Amino acid sequence: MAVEPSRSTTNGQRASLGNVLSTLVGSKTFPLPQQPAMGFFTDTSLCIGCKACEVACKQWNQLPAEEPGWTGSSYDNTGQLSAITWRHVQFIEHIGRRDNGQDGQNGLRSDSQAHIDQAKGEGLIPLIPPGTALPFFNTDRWLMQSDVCKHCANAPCQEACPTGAIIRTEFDTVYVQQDICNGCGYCVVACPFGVIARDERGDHRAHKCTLCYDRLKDGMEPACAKACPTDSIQFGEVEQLKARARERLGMLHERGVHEARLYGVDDNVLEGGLHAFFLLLDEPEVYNLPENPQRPSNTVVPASLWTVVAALLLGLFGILFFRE
Amino acid sequence: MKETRFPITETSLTGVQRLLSRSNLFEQLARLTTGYTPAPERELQEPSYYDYPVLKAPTWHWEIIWYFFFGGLAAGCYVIASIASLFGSREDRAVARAGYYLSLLSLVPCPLLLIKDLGRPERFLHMLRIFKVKSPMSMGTWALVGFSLFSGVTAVIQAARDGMLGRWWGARLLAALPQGLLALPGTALGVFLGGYTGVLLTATSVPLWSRSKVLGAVFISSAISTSAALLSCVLRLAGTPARVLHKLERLEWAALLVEMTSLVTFLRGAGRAARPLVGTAPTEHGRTFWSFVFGGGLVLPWLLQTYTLLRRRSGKHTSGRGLVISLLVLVGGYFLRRTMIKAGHMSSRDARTTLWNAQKPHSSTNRSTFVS
Amino acid sequence: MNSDAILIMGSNMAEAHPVAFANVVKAKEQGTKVMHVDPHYSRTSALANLYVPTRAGSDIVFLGAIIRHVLETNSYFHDYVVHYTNAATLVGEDFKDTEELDGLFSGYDPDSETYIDQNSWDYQRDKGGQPLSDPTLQHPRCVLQMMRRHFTRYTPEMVENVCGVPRELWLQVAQTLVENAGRERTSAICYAVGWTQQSKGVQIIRAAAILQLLLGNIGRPGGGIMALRGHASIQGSTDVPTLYDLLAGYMPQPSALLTPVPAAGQSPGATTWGEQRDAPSNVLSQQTLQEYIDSSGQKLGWWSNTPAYMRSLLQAWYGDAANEEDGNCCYRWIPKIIGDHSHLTTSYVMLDGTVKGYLLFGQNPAAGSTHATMQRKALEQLDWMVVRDLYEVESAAFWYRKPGFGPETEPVDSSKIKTEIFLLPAAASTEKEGSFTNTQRLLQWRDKAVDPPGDARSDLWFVYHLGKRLKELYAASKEGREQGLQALTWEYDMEKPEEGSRITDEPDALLILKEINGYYTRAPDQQGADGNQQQSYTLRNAPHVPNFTVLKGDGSTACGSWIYSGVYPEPGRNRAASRNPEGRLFLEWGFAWPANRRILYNRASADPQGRPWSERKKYIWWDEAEKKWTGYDIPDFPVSKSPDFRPEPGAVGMDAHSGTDPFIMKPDGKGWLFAPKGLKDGPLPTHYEAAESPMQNALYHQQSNPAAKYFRDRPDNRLSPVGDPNYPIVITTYRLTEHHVSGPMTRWMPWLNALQPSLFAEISPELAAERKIRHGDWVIISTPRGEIEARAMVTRRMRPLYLGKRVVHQIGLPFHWGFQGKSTGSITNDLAHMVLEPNVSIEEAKAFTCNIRPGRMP
Repeated sequence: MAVEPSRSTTNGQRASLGNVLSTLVGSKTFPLPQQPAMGFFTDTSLCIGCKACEVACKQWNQLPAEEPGWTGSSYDNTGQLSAITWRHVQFIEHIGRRDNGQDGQNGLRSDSQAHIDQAKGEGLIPLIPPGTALPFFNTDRWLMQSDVCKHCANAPCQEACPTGAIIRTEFDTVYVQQDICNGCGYCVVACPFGVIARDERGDHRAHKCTLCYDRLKDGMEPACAKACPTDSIQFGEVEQLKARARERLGMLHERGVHEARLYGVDDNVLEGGLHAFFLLLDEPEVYNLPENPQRPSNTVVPASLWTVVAALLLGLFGILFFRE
Repeated sequence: MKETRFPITETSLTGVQRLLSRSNLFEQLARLTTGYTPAPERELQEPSYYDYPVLKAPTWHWEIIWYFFFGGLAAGCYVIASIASLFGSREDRAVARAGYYLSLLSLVPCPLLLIKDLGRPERFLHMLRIFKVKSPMSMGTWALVGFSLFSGVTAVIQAARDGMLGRWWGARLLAALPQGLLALPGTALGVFLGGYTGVLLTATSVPLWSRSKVLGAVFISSAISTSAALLSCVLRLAGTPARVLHKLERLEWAALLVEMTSLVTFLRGAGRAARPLVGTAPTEHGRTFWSFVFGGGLVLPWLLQTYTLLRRRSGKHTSGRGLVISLLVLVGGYFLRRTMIKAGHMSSRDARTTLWNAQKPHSSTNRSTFVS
Repeated sequence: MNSDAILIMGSNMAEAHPVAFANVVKAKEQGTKVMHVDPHYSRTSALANLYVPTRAGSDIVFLGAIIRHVLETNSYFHDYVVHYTNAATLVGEDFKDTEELDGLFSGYDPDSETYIDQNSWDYQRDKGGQPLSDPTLQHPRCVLQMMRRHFTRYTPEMVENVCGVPRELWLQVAQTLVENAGRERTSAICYAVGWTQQSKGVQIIRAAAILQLLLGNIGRPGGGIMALRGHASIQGSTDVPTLYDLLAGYMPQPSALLTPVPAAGQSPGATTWGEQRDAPSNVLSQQTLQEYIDSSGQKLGWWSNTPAYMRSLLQAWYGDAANEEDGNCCYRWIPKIIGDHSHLTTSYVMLDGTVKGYLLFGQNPAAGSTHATMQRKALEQLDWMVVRDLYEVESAAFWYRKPGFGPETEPVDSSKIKTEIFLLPAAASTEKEGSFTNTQRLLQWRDKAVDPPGDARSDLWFVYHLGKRLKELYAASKEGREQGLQALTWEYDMEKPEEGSRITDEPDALLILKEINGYYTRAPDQQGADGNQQQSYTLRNAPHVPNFTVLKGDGSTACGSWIYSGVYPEPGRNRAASRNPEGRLFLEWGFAWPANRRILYNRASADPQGRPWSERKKYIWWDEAEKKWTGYDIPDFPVSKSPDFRPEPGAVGMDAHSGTDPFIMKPDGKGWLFAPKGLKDGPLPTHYEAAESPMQNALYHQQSNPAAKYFRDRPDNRLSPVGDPNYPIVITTYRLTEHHVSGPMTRWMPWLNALQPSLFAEISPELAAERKIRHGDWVIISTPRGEIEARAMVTRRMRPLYLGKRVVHQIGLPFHWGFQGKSTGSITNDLAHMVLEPNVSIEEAKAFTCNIRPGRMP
């Protein structure tokens, strides 16, 4: 899984040279052919919500703790990614979904009864149930997902950055050069996932997941992937991971997990796909993920055209009025 | 302590509904212009993650609001001035003169505001590390730099011609320079400066700003209208002949017209995403928008202006009304930018609208209606 | 990983054992069915194929019903049951079952509330003392028939009415287990303190054991019962015990009780070495080594080696001093227990002022032990206390703080507290060398990464130097009672201090491992040779023993814990430190006691003739050509004893076992469906309600475990009566992944506090509606022992149970908080009571009753 140090370092030098070029023309010249793009595949069907990724990330990157506060949103007291939280585990309770009742009185009865009837309906339980026909997940679901920067192939934050602080590394990951960022905040509003943020209580620069660039340089996998006990977070070459993701999806569908779906794998998301993508067990919106995010940079041309139209119109008026 | 999050209860729901009652005039306007009728119950059924924002809130506050305002004036004044000097009659030179001066004047605070707004102001020069066509902010910075140059030079030439720099040979040399030639690229940059701010907001993920693509048009026309207002106001006080003012008033009238049109187009295009700007719920900025921007800043002055222009045929003329109009337009111009930014903050916090904004066209119907 | 089904019950595995649970997830990916039966829907349930909500404290009914289902449908693994268990053995005529005595077994003494006379539980024996049996399993007194009768009323209806589990759900579990048993398939059961922390914990585990034996899931790959341990190396602390009633390697601690010596027949078949005699009941028992061996050592089966193991232990402790003429080998110096000296019972003795001093090693009773209010009171009665921990935990701070409500905590009048407290900084696991022993009995050596900061030292360092100073202190004493201390071998200094370490007087952990592993005190080859030329060794220069089979009862070997013998077989080969991830069973990764066997009783993985039950579950088998047992694992059986070996009449030791008796630790070599001895609350698991319960015992008039320790005389230990309307709600407690036990380590870590910043109570929407509780509000939870406050987490993960017509509400609380650390909160254990399980004296923290109302503590 890890990248040989020797190779990545040589690339490192080329890369840093390339960075300058790319930042000058604001276009991307990566990935270098001999270094495949690296990324995350987060498989929520394996997540046990232990939050080891969140802590491992904090520890490796020495990030300060969020201000502690009990939110009551299930077991999630972090809420969202931030300048000091680069991995974040969501908890979504789908308990008794087919239950008719907020009216508690026959809550469980109707609840479990509904499940059983429905299971029988699907032929999962005949009168003497063959236990081996158990569904892959029980009907009550507690969805857990470890969210992270998507390292988009066409990263809006990188496109927006006016200083060239945000670059693509030799691993084709999106990285903020802290020595250059001047905290203009344009990347913050550009990111359609609300990932990158300015550290208002700290150094007032933009921060986000670096995909452990420093570890990759030394041929180690990122801290979160390393810490994940169930391999819900997998690190590797994007192409291989995507293949694995599709395979996994097929397997789950075979096992009757029809609500399973991939997010960010196909290339039409942000016209290039995401390098950190997910296997979800429900609609993306349930995880606060936009179904079809747009590249802000695409609006530049049309918006400019309208501006020009208006400008010309006004110009004409002006000329009209001023020349006698 | 962070807030405790829980699905919205019935009571608060009815509360929202009461606020959105049809009786409310602004609410009527909001629904009319955006073509969207809020339905809290249905929106609640849309999945989202405990209503945590999908986006991060913009980091932009009063500095940017004022920058947009002054930037608009600087650009507008310069453009009008150039038009006046290029196409205008001899006495229109007054407009050009005032325009170039005011342009430079209102340009002065802009860089300061921008630098103040940075997280690390000492690094403002990093803006000039690269030239990135994709990034409106990068382009805008360069435009600002370029424009400052032209605006400065033009103003100096103007000063020389006006004899402010004395009569020595240097001054005469400056005065001899072809101001008109400079004016052309200057005007181009000016237009850019006046309009790119709208494009910059459009090129984000904030639903309000990015959904409809005509924000640039709104801003450029607002730049012209406010500048015209400023100029006419100043010149009027300076006792400039009515014929000249008349031209400005007509331009102002036209600019307001264009601005109204593009603003309505903007609202219609943004639809649901425009709610934070035009809506009347406590978190929305509709009240300010309708009273100060659309009503007081556009419709009212435009009507007054129309009235004035019609009355003018009969020769009568009152300068008082002109001043009032100009002030209304200026105030409106400021509040347009203010509400636009503030509503942008609200818009970025609204998870459901953000997710709705990012839906595939087809999939807006038959989604699961479960709220955990 | 090899299981075809896994039943997780009484455990929140994903949250309390995430790393172990990773294997469950892997197994599930391969098609293993994972079932979770638990009062509250946890992160474990989320990953399970099937989640079954049940009422805390009703486990035996749930399992009993499955046992009945297996017996009624004859779906037990017949060949396995007949040959490897005592199903066929006949039970004595005078044994009375709970069905006959309405919840009691024969031999119960109401006055002492114990089963004082367990003789009636014994087998029927022939003249020779051999147990009688009926291989046809038809005899009315045979164990299988006894069980049929015993479990006859544990029906699906009973499950619905007692556990609140719809029968379809229960049936799915039963069916899954049945289908994944037999020759081709195996299932595993995982439990943790959800079972043990009940007034009948041991019997619940017995029920699981019976089920696994009936289904043929013991001693086979993918089978077994996993006791998920609560802390790093809790397993180790029972192997080389910190327990009051055990010596190393599960030999019982000598006890001096005024009871007759458990007498066994003179007969060859008798299970202990003891000679038949009428011991007067006013003489203290087990005063001599011989008497100890007679009554505690078994004559049949592997425990017949007790003399050798005991002798080697004494040799290890007392060195040459143990070679006494009288053959008592310094046994007299070993303290004899005179009752229940367990942690919790002792805390009451402490409360009475009898106990003067207290040493706490990473223990935090002030917040972590049951009935914590009483625990703190007890600490106040001490003269002195030593607390060794990483931080100033509640137990070290009780003298100036107590649970407060809100962020600040109320002060305490320190002048009223006489206890003198010494807080000594301890080294963390990364700052010391040593071994961890985990659930699967796997020893893994842990190297030291850095020196501990400042004055912090390892526990080993502390104990070693404490011992040295005590020896110094009493060196000159002539008192008899100090002789043991004087004779104790206590020399573990390092040859030369560790490279680059600041700490120069750290003892040599490897040297201690060597003593535990065992060594020759005399050259092995010279055994029995003429005494005066025998060369004798000291710990340092002695050759290591290869394993426990060479241990002798003549003092030629010394061994600190026989089960660990073989972990350090020769100099430079510490098998606990080996890290070779190769092979089918990773046999070279760490060392699993005994003898690196990964599965105990693995002889049972082959059929009576010694062939694997199936190709799929092949593990250990008899190699006819080689005339020995072989396979993937190390055979847990005499390697050369052929399957058709039959014991001579009157044979003793291992020779008393036939080639088809896999359970070599048992005198009869069988797996005990019915336990004729060894348990303090009955030979068969029986359902009793928890000490505090909202409902009557639906099966018997006997409400709760008759042999449990209730401390009824203690005014502070008030229990709410059955079905008390003031305390109608069942409460259970559990852990979160984010914190560890009472939080003495985790609540000082800002990263973790941000993840779980506050104590909360999980409440069903139905109960919340009933009690007008809003999500996120503060609630007060009360029991007769005390009140605490917590945030209300209203969630469908908790749900009311429908027992017949009535509704029972349950709430769940984590117990991680206290008044010290960077995140403070109420102490959940202030609610729990002190009713102890009879066999192991564990509290009942998983099922008791409470009440709940919105609001905050004043």
